[in-house]
Amino acid sequence: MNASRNKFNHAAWVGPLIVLIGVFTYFTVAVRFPDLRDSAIVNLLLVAGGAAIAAWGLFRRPNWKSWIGVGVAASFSLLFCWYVFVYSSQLPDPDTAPAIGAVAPPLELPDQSGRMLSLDNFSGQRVLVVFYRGYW
Amino acid sequence: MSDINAAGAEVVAVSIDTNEESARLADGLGLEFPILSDVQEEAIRTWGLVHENGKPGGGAISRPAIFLVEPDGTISWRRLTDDYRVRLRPEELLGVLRSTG
Repeated sequence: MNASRNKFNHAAWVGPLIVLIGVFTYFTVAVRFPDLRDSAIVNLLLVAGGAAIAAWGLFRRPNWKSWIGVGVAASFSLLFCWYVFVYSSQLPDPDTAPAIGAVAPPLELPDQSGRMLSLDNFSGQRVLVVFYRGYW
Repeated sequence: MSDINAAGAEVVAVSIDTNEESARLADGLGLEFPILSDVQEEAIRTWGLVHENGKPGGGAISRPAIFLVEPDGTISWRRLTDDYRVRLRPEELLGVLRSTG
């Protein structure tokens, strides 16, 4: 009986777990802190560290558990990197938006209480018009 | 928020959410500024901010964008992020308002 073969390969589950924690905490914790959100550095490090642990586990014990660990860790790492470096930058052409110096297009819509509001309601004031993605 | 008002600007937010959804958001976060509901996507089309299929699962939403509209109706400053994870910081906005106001 080979003792080391029966010993559970911790790296096979610790690695993917750290990757998943890295991804999950980006959307639940880091988004509340502008520095952590913008750079995503802490989460990228967690994800990279988790993937490295999974890879190390496979190197040490090349069995099916290690392969699953590496598979899960690698898929979520790649997905997260794609989100951070590619997906979130896929925005439409900014040139279709009104330029600085242009007259603001009309804006007349109901507010959260259902009352119609227009830019004309703010005569004499500077208005910050904030378009956001929404919470659906 | 009161800092922005003190710097001489009113805030109006716009999204494609219904006004019920925006009311829940405003209640939850204690927001006091108006949140306009552009369910028909009129404003985001007129303002050229449509992000087609930006909504997970399909559908158009607005790209994040902030415009400073002067009393004469012209736009004196704008911020269109090129990565929606990266947003304007309040300090930077207050700097803009104070230096242009």
